Amino acid sequence: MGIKVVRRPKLSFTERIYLGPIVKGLRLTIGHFFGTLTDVVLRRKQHERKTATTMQYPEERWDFKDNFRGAPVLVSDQFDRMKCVACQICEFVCPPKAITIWPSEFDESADDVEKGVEKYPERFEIDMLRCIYCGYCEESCPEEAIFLLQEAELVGRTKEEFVFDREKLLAMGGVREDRALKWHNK
Amino acid sequence: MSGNGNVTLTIDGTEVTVPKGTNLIEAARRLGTHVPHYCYHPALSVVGNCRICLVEVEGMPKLQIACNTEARDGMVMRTRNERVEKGREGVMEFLLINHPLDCTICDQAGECKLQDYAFHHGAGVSRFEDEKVHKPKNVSWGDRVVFDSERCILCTLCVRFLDEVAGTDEVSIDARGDQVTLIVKADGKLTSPYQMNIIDLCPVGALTSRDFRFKSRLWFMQFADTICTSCARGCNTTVGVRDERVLRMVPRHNADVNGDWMCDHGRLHFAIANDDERLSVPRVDGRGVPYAVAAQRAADLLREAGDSAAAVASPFMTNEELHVLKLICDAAGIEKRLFLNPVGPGDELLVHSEKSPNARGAALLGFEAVDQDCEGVQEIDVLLYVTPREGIALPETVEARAKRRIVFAFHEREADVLFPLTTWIEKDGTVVSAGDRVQRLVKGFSRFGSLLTERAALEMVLQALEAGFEPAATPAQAFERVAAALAPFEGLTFTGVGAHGAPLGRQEVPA
Repeated sequence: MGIKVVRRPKLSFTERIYLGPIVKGLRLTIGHFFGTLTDVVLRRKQHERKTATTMQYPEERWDFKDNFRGAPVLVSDQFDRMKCVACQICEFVCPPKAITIWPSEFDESADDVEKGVEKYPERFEIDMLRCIYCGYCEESCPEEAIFLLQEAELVGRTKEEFVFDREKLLAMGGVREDRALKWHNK
Repeated sequence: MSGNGNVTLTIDGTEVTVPKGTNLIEAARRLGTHVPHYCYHPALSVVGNCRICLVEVEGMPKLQIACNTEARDGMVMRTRNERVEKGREGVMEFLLINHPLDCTICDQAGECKLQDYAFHHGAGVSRFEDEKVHKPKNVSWGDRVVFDSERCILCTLCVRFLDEVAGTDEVSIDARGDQVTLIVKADGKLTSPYQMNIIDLCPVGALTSRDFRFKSRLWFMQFADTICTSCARGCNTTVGVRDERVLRMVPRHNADVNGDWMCDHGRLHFAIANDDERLSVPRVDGRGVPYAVAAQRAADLLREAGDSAAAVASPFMTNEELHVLKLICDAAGIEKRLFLNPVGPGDELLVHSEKSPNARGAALLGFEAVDQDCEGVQEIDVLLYVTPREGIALPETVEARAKRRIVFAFHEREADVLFPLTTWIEKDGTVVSAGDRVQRLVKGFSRFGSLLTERAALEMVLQALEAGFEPAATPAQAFERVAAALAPFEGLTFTGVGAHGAPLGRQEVPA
């Protein structure tokens, strides 16, 4: 193999004084500065911004698509009755076995609707560290009692904190209207 | 044509010969063809009211119910074609019209014939748009049975069982039209000691068990085909287990022992298996020790005592365990070999007066049945005592006649060496039931992870007594040793005993 000699290119005068690229660079920097300033002053959301910047987490959060699958929670009907009847289908279908249910029977103090339902979850636990957010529980629930929230940020310091009990799941889930009111007509 | 009281008919194009008088469901069963049915049960009278067993018989203009049609020579029957399917679909639609769709809370879900047949013969949708008929739900029929009238399809299996088998005739049909329901005649409470069989019989979720109510869905349980050990009958059972807990026990068909039934006492007699307070490790002088240490101590005590020791076995032990105990007695020179034999009232159907599963096995292996006074045990040095079930035990005065005690027990108690006792569902082995029938216990789970069965624990004691002894590697090998030692067991194998048992001394029993 022979040796190939590469000669340095000869720079012109404008190239040697370097002023053009400096001005070009400063224009970009100053443009970004004023663009960001406008965005911040006008409190623009991430997707409305004219300039590309880092999202201001945690003040700003991502907007999820409607089919996003987050934490599964329990819901109540419009009469504030827990919809879950402890059929344990979700416990059965749950691939990582994150759901555990302890079913029980309503006693004499229950109201008429509850007596019709007969059965309820005395304890209902979801281990959010085991949960893989697959949504099978929501899909299989015959009572429409469990839904996946648009919630992806669960925080805790210990493993135990991630085992959500019935009250916590119901509080997170809130109310979803029961259209069939199957148990009310028992 | 076939003689000898047999008839030959054609079912779905295949010829089959059955005894005269056989109905079409049983004839089809011989070919492995399942004809769906709710109200038919081979052990009860035929009423033919559910109408799901429709089949087509050539020469008959309409579909016939297979349960109430006798097989005849030359009959040509079809169990599946478009016409039969359409007929069954119609029956299913009527049955489901007022069905409450309680499957989410119904304990029968998973073993429900309505679910199964709706899957195979149902339309999948309901054309019924009006308000369903509402009937009494969650009705208590006493301490053991819960009745739901909305789910009932009025097959009358429970009515017929209580009348024809239990003999108490307690349930009947009440009212008419769409308000028809079942009632308990007397004061609304069932009294039969066999009442819980109607729960198993019920093809739908109308009758459910108070004891098992909402404890577990069917699909979470694992099942062990074992036997009941409440009396010498040894009813064949299937035990449902979840998370190392016995949740229910139901009878398993065995024409030679219990038919399809078992008594409520036996069925509900499993609390000890779920007891969390049970002993989980062996103890020497009150301190928890490994099995090997306890076995060595027991062997030392027995060797020192020699002839001045006594062994009191339990008729709840399997043949294999009793056999090892016998070998221990042989090795240590123990002459007094006894067992406590609990007895009580029996009945004519299933309950036997011997209240233990294996008194016969204990007697065969050379142990002598004694009552609780236990006069054979007087001043002795060492007592090797395997406690029976709760409710029967050696009185403390008898135990006090021994200076030192080696005891197998469920719970903490005073003893020099204490081994944990295991329940019938925690071990494999065989027993000799009433009618000299060898039947198998099948292990459903083992408790506390480290709990050894009595056979394993006794084998360790024997190993400490006799250096040459090798413990049996499998339950089958342990059975082989028993069979080799006892003449009546000749010709029996562990697999041969199988799920349904085998009679002892088969060669002498007339065919």
